[in-house]
Amino acid sequence: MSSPLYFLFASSLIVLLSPVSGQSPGTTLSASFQFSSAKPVLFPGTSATPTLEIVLHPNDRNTWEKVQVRLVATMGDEPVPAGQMPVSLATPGGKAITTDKWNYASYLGLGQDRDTISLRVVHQRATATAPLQLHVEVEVPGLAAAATAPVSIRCVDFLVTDVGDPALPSDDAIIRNGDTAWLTHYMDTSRSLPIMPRLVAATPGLSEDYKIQWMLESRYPRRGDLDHVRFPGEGWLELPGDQDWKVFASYHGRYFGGNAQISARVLEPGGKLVFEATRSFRILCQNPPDATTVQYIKSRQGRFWYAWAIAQHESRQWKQVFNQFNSGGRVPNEPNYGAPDGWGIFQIDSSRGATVSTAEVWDWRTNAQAGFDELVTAESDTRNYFLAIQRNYPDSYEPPPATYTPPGCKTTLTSEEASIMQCYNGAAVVRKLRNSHGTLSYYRSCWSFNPSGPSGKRWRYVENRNNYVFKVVKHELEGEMPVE
Amino acid sequence: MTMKRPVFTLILLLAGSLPAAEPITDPLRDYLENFDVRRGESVITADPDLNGDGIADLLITRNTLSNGRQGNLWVCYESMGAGSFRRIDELAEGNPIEFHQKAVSFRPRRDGKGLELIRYSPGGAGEGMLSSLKLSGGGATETILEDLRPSGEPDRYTSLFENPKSQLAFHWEKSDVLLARYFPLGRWFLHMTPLKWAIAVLGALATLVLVLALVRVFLGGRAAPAVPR
Repeated sequence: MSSPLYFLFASSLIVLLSPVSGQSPGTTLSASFQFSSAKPVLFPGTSATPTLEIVLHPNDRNTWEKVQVRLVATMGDEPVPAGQMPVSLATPGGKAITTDKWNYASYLGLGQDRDTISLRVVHQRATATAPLQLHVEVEVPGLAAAATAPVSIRCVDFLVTDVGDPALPSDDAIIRNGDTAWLTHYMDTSRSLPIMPRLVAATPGLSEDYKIQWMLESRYPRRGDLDHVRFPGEGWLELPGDQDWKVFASYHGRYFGGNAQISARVLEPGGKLVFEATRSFRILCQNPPDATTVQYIKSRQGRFWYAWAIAQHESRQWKQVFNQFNSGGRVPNEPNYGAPDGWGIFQIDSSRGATVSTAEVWDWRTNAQAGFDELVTAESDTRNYFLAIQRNYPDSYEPPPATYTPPGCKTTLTSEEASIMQCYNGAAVVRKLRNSHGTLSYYRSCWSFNPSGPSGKRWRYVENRNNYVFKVVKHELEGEMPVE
Repeated sequence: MTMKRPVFTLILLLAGSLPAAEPITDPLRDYLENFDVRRGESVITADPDLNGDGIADLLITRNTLSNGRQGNLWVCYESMGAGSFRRIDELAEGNPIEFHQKAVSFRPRRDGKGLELIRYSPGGAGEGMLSSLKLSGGGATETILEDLRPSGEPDRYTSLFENPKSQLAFHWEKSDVLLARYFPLGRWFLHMTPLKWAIAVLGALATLVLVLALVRVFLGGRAAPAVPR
């Protein structure tokens, strides 16, 4: 408010009124109420210190003590109730000023020897389509009165809203600093899919001649910088001040979470940066119901009919299963991590030779697809192993056993299924064998071949150190482990 | 008929000069030659002093070579002193050394003979197993230590595998770069069999004949325009 502009608008705001009729013609009262800008705009966390000047003539102490001041607020020609004021008003000493209420000049800090003060106007909430009109009335009852011209004040908010289900306006949630926006799921009779929070950012109260620049950024420190996303990819998205940013349209079809922030920069018509702010919040996640996940996996697992049981075992957290996200523990509702680097329902792991992607961590459907892909790899490895054994031991080769039933179990697997299941976790038998090019490669399976064994008994099933096949069959397929 | 005798002799001479088994002096070259390394992969190495002789041993794998959740399949080149190494590519039961890069650490052996590797083998449902890998008697052994549930003992897991003082440092390099550096003539020359040598020699001779023919045509063409006085 110490700007030279301060004085620029003074003359237009000063209104002198004639003495009230029947009063002493020698007593006059004048007032001015001025901001540093002709059309002040207040942003969240900002304030203004307009100057209030009252001049009594002649400067008589007895008359001065009777001077009363009132601030009047209207919006769209309607008075604004004190509880709905978009700004709060205070004296230089910090005393609250209630609009539409007469106060003695001394209450405001105006003394006979000091007739100019700076009020404090602090942003509280956005103004509606019409700006706030604020003016000051002054009077010495029965003697003189004055009023200033109204000043138009716009108050701008910085709002981030999760609009939730478009069909349910009542579920909109304002996202404040430190709040959580939820990655949920959508279900109907035919499909189920994860739903990112439908975020909308807006600056209500700002006019279209302003420009606003937007940016959303999210990081998930548990995975280093792997899940760092930014919208737009670089720079800022610039929109007119009166236009909302439908953030969710920017990340349509992408899934991520962690520590997010939406940043805004407001440029006044001349291009000068007048305000910038950031809303920091978290994006956390809810698991879909188990029945939905099972149905989804079973509808896509094809020949890997046991894939759902692998997923149930991999993602198990005590009695809770199909946890793409933690159902409890130290970091609930964050992605389900299993040491050393397993993520989500199928515990997709970077040991496959490719980094676990952001989509695999935050979208359970992508995670399930990665699990199916790994089963395809395990199937290919298994078949290549049997072929390599046949190539390396052509004289003593015999087909592997048709079936395998883990000890104490009722479920029977084919020898290939047992191998695929074990390879998903880690094959117990890894051998360096001659490949079709004549050089050596590694081959893996759960079946050990002894070329010098008696015919019909050359294959031996070897369980891996984690008893993986047994656990998947007994605990999950046959339901020995409880599920909540 | 006149060509057959020298070619045959050349093939015999080259076959006779094929390298015999020698001590390994360059582990990386040995790995590239013997373990089916392909273009488009990454070769990963770590160099702890496992046998405690003061010379770094070398662990080598590549990003595409793994066994499910258990991690990569590694080959260990144990230093034998004087710049030579011994290759250890399987454990006692015939499987290769395997561990996950994010679930391995080293610690001094209790017998003071260098370092042992501690690894975690995930088993699903948040459970797994700790084991110890040691070099001994010209080979390597793995001993199961105990079950471990990292989510139940997060501090223990962190102290074991996320302590910078005991983590292995892994170096990644593109296989294309390494193959180009070690075998500038290409993969075809990696394993020279007699047949390959024969093809190479015949190809070289055919090229030589072609070049000579071209030179002759070129010289003949230049002599032709000469006009007699």
